[in-house]
Amino acid sequence: MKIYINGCSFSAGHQGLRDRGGKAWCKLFNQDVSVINDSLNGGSSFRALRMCIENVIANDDLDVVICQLSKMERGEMFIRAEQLNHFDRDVYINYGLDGFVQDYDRYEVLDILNQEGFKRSGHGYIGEEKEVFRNDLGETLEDKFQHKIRIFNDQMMTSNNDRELHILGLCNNLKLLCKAKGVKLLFTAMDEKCIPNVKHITPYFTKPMSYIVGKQGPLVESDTDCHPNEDGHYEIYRYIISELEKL
Amino acid sequence: MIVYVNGCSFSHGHNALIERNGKLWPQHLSNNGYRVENESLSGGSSHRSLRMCMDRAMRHGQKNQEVDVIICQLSNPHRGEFFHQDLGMYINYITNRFILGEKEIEVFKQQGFTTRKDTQFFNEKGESIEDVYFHKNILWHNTVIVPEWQRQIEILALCNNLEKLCKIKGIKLLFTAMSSICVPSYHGDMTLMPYITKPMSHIIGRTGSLVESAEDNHPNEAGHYEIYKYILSELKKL
Repeated sequence: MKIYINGCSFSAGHQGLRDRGGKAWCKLFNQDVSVINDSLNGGSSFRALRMCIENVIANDDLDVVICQLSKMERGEMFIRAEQLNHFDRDVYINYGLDGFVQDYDRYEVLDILNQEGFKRSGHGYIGEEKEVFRNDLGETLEDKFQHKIRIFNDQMMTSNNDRELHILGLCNNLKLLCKAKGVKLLFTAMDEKCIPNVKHITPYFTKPMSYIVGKQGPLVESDTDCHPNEDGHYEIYRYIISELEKL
Repeated sequence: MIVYVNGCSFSHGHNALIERNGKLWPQHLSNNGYRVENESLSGGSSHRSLRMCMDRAMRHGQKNQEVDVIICQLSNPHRGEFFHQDLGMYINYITNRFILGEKEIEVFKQQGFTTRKDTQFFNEKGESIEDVYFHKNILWHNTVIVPEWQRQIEILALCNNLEKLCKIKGIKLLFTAMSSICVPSYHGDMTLMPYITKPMSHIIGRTGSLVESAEDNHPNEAGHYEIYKYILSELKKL
């Protein structure tokens, strides 16, 4: 069985878990299950849906797609190759309200940004200095690629209802594609706020992961960090397995 | 039978036709026993049509809000609309200006945009509505930052939302389009595309006896009658 998974840190594994070699739920499947996990710490629902759609179209051997939605205010931005000085491919950058999110698993981020003249300070780990990339002119990456304009457009020029309908429409697109290609599809979410809710047209979503692990207690990282710890990921894995059996 | 129509000038009527009281295809439907609610807007975007059709379908089932058929006419994908949070209203735009309905014009007049020159409104400082309400920023954002395919898949997503809602609510739905460039396509993959009728511009042509003039390919009265006949034949198939 081949499963494609895309989500945020709840599926990628947050940095603390990765640093100590802990396993996210996606890594707990039996060896006879082939898992492609393209999740990203800080990834948006738009990214997860886009990549699921691209993968369903491109691959004929997928059996299951698990699409995990994240915070609605996160987004994804497209940067054309011609906007870059050296890197010759179009790239996507995910963003949150306070900045871009780097995809270290998929891109040689530091090399690419060094070539583009940006140097990193900080790592952005919880309790540590925020990760910032700055060029010789003192511009941050966010300055150069108009992060503020993007946030302004998302927050001030788009209604929440329309954003929800956009995400929901992409969910329905993915559902149509999966149905057409005979791929089983499971929608899940980090927490309930990530699930677009429009009467009649919202597809089936599993119980949100934060309901499985709680906001505090033995299944999360700490009182101030509600990411699932190893036990939390195991509980999520068991729940996802039970949901897959129902498909 | 109640039919709700939303589209651009091909459904609303362009200015010259309206000024000479020419008949639109939705009006021919009215004369044929259909009760037509037409909320199209000249210069309106596909996003506006889809949003308003969705709202209309949502209201179906409430008192005096029944609807039997929704006809959603898609328009040029480079047009768009945005929601201005402070004003609490949607504004449609094309490449060089905003497209304002009567309600929007009234709101902007209250904001001091009282001087009209052609299609634009200015305030006492000589600023246009487009200057003050970020037309350039919005256009730049939606044409440079958002790639073409992303706009296409978003329109498809909204079409599929509407199709799903209409199916659940038992409303018949017909998608049509101004021209072939208005038909959304995701890298040529047809799986996501709902059924969309032959584009209106294919029915009337770009030049000839069914359009306004050699420079203006809006349907004239005869063109609207041809579109009406075609839409009627499509409605019968639903």
